[in-house]
Amino acid sequence: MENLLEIVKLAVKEAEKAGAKEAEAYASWNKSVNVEISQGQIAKSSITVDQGIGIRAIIDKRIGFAYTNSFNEKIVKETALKAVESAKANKPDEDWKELPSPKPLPTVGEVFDNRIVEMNVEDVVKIALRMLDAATSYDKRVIPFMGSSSTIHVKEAIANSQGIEGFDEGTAIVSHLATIARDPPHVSPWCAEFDANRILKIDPEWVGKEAARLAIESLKGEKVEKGEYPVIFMQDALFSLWMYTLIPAVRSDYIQRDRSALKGKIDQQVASELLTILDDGTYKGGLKTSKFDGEGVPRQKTPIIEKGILKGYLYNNYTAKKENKESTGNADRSESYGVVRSSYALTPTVAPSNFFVKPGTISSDEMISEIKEGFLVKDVQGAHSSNPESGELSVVATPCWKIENGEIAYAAKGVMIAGNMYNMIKNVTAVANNIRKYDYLITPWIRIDNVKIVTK
Amino acid sequence: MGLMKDELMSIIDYGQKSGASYVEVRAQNISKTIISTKDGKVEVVTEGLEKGAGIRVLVNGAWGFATVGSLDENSLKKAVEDAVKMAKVASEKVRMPVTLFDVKPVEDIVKIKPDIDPRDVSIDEKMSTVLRIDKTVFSYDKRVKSCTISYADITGVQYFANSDGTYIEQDKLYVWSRIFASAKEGDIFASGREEIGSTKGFGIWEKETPEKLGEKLGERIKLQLKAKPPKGGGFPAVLGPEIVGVFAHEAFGHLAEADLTFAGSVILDKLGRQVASKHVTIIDDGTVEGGFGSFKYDDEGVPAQKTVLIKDGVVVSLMFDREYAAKFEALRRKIPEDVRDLFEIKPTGNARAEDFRVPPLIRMRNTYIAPRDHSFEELVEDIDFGYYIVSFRGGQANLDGTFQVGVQEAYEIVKGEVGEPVRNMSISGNTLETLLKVDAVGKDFSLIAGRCGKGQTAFTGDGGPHLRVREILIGGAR
Repeated sequence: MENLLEIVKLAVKEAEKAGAKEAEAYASWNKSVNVEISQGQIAKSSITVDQGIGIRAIIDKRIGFAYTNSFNEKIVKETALKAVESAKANKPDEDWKELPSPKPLPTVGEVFDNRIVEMNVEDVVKIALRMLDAATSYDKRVIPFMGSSSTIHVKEAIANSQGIEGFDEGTAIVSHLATIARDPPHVSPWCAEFDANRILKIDPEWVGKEAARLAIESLKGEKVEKGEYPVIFMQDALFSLWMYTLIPAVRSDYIQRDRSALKGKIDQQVASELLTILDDGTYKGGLKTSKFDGEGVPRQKTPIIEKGILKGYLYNNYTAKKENKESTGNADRSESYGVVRSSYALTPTVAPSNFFVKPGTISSDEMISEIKEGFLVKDVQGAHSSNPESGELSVVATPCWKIENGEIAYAAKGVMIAGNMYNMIKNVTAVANNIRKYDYLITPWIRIDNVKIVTK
Repeated sequence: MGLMKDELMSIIDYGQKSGASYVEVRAQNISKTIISTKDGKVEVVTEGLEKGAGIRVLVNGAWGFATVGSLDENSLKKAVEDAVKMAKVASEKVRMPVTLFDVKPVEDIVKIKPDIDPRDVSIDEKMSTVLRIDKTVFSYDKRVKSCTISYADITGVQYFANSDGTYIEQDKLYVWSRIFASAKEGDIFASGREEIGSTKGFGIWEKETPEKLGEKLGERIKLQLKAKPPKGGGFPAVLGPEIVGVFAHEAFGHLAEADLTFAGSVILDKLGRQVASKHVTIIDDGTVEGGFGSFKYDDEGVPAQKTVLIKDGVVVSLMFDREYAAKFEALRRKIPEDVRDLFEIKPTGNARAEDFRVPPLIRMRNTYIAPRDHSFEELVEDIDFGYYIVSFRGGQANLDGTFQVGVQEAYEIVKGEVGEPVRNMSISGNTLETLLKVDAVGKDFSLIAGRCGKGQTAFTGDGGPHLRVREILIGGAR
């Protein structure tokens, strides 16, 4: 196994030799063992290793980038040269200042577990089987049609001509299952559940049982009356809805391009005072926790909303320097143009690390019991069709249950939620205490009042 | 014949000796040029080189897959060993062993003759093409605030071989671009998207000129600024080709991907049966000349075909790979006898992998509703109040047959005439119920380039003619 840090240092040197005034190299090595469930059985497993290096070269404010999935020294040198050539071909970006300089990196906890590295495929199969058995023994009408258990081991290194040198290593284990239940003529909507952690702490039985329970409990959907109701949004729904509304709205690149409804609203009340959100790239065991971001800048805690008052935006090196500010450590190498996917093939954009919503004090049961008539929404469909700038959205809630007199009454079907996220966050009337990690989001359930429900 | 034939065949031989009953190797050597611009500024020019192989094997009825970022013999041997090991472990718990539907082995070398090879076009010209779109959008209306453009061309060769004796060398060529723009006036935000793609080459910019694209997007955003929100509820609607395409693809197409059908999609019980009005014929076609979802062979070495999924309202086939064709063949006797012969089961050339890093899945190609005989005026004239829905922002569907499509361009239809624009609309409902409500289909036709995500990205084309639905559920903020 090659030494990633040596490779990125070599690449920076080579780019400088080829004429780059500034250079940055980022390399990643990503190994994943994946056991796949389809149609209720395990019949597929895979081992994938994806590695590569991306090199940024800057000459007189012209930026070039090249990548390769080879660590062969000769090819890395050629790639450095290509980055320089691509910079020369580009036009200058007058807003470019310079690459970031080194800063002390934080220590982060519970992001690497050698037991995950040492797991073999047999161990992963066992986890998948435990999940599968839990689902099928719950109810025989349940079809666990798709799922997987996987282990992930990632190494990343970065170096730049300002002297940044960083290496980080992380692990993760994920188990996920999607089910539907069939009881002709009834078919449940697709119901999915998962558990993910950075260390070897995972509950596959819970995943299997929950995925099955959700499908059974949404099997016989009933139509409901349109109107305005209190709605409890579970983590899955918040993840999808915010991804296309609140997240872009607090990204500095969106702000700078006048594409955010939260522009110019720092220190103003933008949400209910029950809502406090911070971006925390150092969160213990967070699924997005790391020592440094995609440009080698230390991860940190950044207040976004404090008791409803807007406190800050997310910055990378470029957007921060444009405003003579400091990067908040939110450079991200995962925003794909749709034709490349690997982090080494992508240039840094802006994204949250762990978007952490401060939990409240009431339990999820209490939250339900306080609603006379309303809905519990597990997930939504079509969030990506939201208008990112205005916050206007119109989504289908599924799976979704009607709450009547403080209890979950029945599954609701054909429920559409229409509204504007920036009005909705003002109508938050309760925040539960049941926080959960869901990709970039760490949040409890949230109750929002006066949500408009459209039905057929 | 064949640049890598001997190497790949020796790896396959090695895999069989290690215990695999089926081995396939998919090797790629691909270059990508990517340009991204924001508000008239080239953000970055990316040059990428990707080389590697994905190896898939069957051992005792289970799949193993391994991928490697190099094409030298030792790495490939190691990968085939890994794949065999993965399959062996997976096979211990298999209850229904995987088998493959027999197909005739093929040996072929597929060379693409590009209209203009993107490798012969300078970076400078690619950049200025993209910037011409940006300039057109910004000068179209002074309220335009942002414009983000991605451009990519992908060129290279794929080498495919399997233990049935198939060996295929196939050129890969894609030119693609996506444009996002937004505008703002007071508290009203408007945004829009356009996407184009070709498998013929850089010549697409001569048909879809940057100026034409820019004006189309500029006009769409401008209309949204003055548009009003729609009424919520059920209304008659005329759907344009882009919406018909997303409906054929998102709402219906996924239900007819054999793996998802098998998993229990709503059409599982309806094979050979009427699910749509008799005006509806839905086709998934890998052979459309220059179509963004077209190719000669899929990633199992099966020739791409024109597959009729719904004929005059009846489900007549699905999109199959070799595994699911075999699974459905085994179930054929469960299809009611009276319609059994109406339903065709065979590998249709729909197995596609994004790249060598991932195994193939059943994916769509160019998916469309076939045109019939109505003019646009005939479709609109009988509607007293309804909507003309032109362009979408995103769509999603569920196996239970519900769908949701966000709309970025739509108009009211009032007393048989297309009227004022509406914004922030979405349509949703039950796919089969909606297909049954199609009561007239137009005679025009167009295909629109798109990309589809199913864990992996696939380049696709979607489209059809204009058509009319008696009722569709409109969601909106009013």
